Formats: sequence, structure tokens, C-alpha cells
Amino acid sequence: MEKSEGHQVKLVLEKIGGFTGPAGREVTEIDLARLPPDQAAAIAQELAAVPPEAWNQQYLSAHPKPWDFRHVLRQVDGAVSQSIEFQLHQGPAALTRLAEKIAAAKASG
Amino acid sequence: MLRHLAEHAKAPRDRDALFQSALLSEFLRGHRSARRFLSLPSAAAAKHRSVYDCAHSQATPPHGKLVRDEGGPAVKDPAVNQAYDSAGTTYDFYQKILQRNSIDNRGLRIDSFVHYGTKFNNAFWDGGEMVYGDGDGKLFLGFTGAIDVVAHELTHGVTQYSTPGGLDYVDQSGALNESISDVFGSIVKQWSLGQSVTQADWLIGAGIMTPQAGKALRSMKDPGNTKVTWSGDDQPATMDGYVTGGDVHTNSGIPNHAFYLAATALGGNSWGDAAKIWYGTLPLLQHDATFADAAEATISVAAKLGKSQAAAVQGAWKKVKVIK
Repeated sequence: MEKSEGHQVKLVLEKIGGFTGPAGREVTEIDLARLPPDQAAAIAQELAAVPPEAWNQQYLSAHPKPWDFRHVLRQVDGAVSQSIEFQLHQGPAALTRLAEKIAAAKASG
Repeated sequence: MLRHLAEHAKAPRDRDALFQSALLSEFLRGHRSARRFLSLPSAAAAKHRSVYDCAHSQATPPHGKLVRDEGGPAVKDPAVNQAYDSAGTTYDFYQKILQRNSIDNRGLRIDSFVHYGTKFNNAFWDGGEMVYGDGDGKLFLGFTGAIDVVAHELTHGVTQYSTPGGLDYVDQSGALNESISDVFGSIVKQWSLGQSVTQADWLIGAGIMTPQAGKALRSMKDPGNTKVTWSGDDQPATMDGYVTGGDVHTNSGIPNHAFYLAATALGGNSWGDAAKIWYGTLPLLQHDATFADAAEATISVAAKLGKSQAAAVQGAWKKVKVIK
């Protein structure tokens, strides 16, 4: 998906796992335009580092452990949306860094 | 020989000791790396609990300030004391009933981190320590308030150290992993309350949900019955409702119900034969075990206790339609 100028880029990260599983899914919604500029830039940098071919793919461990939470990252740019399902440290490294930066933005927000 | 002696021992205590020895012997003969998975307890079993306050940090791995250590007095924060006390009860259960020396059977210190994140709707074992959120107050309350939650998560550690390679947390092996944690979560709760299988509520997570959200997260007696749990309970009780590719917390309803049926058929207390059978099965499973593998293994372990025990376990797996 081409990043289009003027559109608000929204990121939604869902985390599922632990004792509660889907019942306690943690949903973090980030609107880059509303974040402090340094935080938005850091997230945009990691977002750009995610290879285009990674979108709409799954990167899940072959032997997941109970602490491997399932993440679903959804990018909404205007009317177009795409997603990636992954666990930390699976797939492109930028995904894990992105998840960490989104969590940090949530914590500081 | 050990099996024969166990089957003919008159005193339950002797039978249990011989049964455990038989299991260990059979496991050692079958697995050269058995020591790692069914290691003998270290000479001195010493309970050591440490509780840390994350102060709402959601760092990975968790970090926080040490607020209560083994033997220290209770503090003002109920979450700290609940995490400390329930970890202690779980430790005591594994030591007194199953002769296991802590989570790794080698006296692992139990570290617990409370107040993780902000409105964090979860609790989890991260491979080395316990992490508890406070809940958002809308759906969930604090997770330290229910002993079955604590025992559930600590049992993920027991499975990690007992089943060679652990049980892959996906598909049927993942649902088994979840179920084993629910099973021992419920057993520890029943043991702490002194309840028989007929007195127990068989609910998982009772007390951690707000009254408007529900009564509990899951029911082992009646999986999927939203009247006794909450509106989102989608657990099947039998293979008729198995969800292909479904979440491990969904399909775990099937082995959960099998345990409930087996324990009630065996009667008495769940921490008797039922617990010993399920616990004795852990080293016999492979990382990708299916429900049918678990059925076969539990029946085989039950058969070492006697024909009636084997029949009870077999009947349970039949009722949930894992075997015919």
C-alpha cells in the first residue's frame, strides 16, 4: 500500500494471549497525526522498515510458548487497510520494534 | 515390578510412592534426557517467593521494586499479599501432593510481578516469572484475587519443565497446554478449600470479572454455558464443537471437560487419583500432542493405578468424543 500524503495513518495493534486469551485482548490504537512528533517519527520509521510483501502475511512461531502473545497489526490509511499477524521475534525485525514503540506510545499517552 | 507392587500395595501412601517410582523408572528407560524433564528434587526443598511492584510499567521483561520477599511480613497492598500467598499455596500443593520441588522440580524461586501495565486485562507466565495486571475495572478486576489464576499460570511453568520441549501453544497441543493449567488451577483451588469433586464449582477465574461482565471465564463442568460464566464463553464440551484453527482458550474446553468427568467418576478429591494421573501424563506427551495422545497417555497412567481408574478415564474421553 502506498502511503498517501494528506491521509491520516492509523495503526491498530491487538495482543491476544495469557490467562484471558481473546477475552482480554489488548487493543492499542495509534493515530500518528496525534502523537508527539518524535514519537510519531520513530513509529513511522519502523513502519517504513516493514517490507511491503510482509503485509497480509502471518509470522508465527512453529513451536509457540504460552508467553508468545499473538499480535495483529492493522494499518488504516484512508479507505485502505492491511494487516499482519505475528508473534514477537518472528518475521521482519521491524515488527517487534514497531510493537514495542506502539506499546511505549500507549504507556506515555 | 514396581507397577506390580504399586497395584498390590494396601496403603495409599505406599501405592502412590511406588506408582511415582514406576513412572520415573519407565520414563528413564524411554528417555535418556529424562533428568531434565522429570528431575529428582534437589536435596533441600526451600520455598522462596519474591513479589515485585511494576508500578504500572509494561516493560518486557517485567521489572519492578521488590516489595515482599520470603518470610517477610504482609504489606498494605492486597495484590502483593495475594500473589505471595497463592504462589505459596501452589508451591505447597505441588510439594505435598505431587512431591514436586517448585515449578522446575529443582527449587526454582517464584518471582511475581504485580501492577503490570495500566488496566492490563491479563496475567501470564513469561517462561521464568509470573506477571499480573490489575484489570480495567470494566471487564476484569485484579488477577491476583483468584488462586486458580495463579496456579493456572504457574502450571504453564510446570508443563514447560515436565513435557519434553513443552506443549506447543497452538492447535490441540496448545489447547492441552491451556487445559492442563486449568486442571491444576482448579485442583489447587479445591485443595486449598478442602472441597470434594462434588462440592467444587469447577469454575476458572471466578471473582476476577466485574459483576456486570460475568461470573467466571470458563467452566470445566459445563464449558460454553454463558449462564455460569460470561457472554463470550465459546468453549465446546465435546469434539462436536471443536473449532478447527480455533484459539487454544476455546478448544481447551474439551480436555477440561474430560478431566471433570474423570475426576467426578473417580470421586473423592480431585487431588487424589485424578491429579496423579494427569500429572503423571506430562512427561509422556510430545510437544505436538493431540487430544487422542493425551487420552491414550492418561488411560495408560490410570491403568497403573487400577482397572476402575482406567475405566473412569477412558469413559471421560469417550464422553467428550475424543475416542470411541
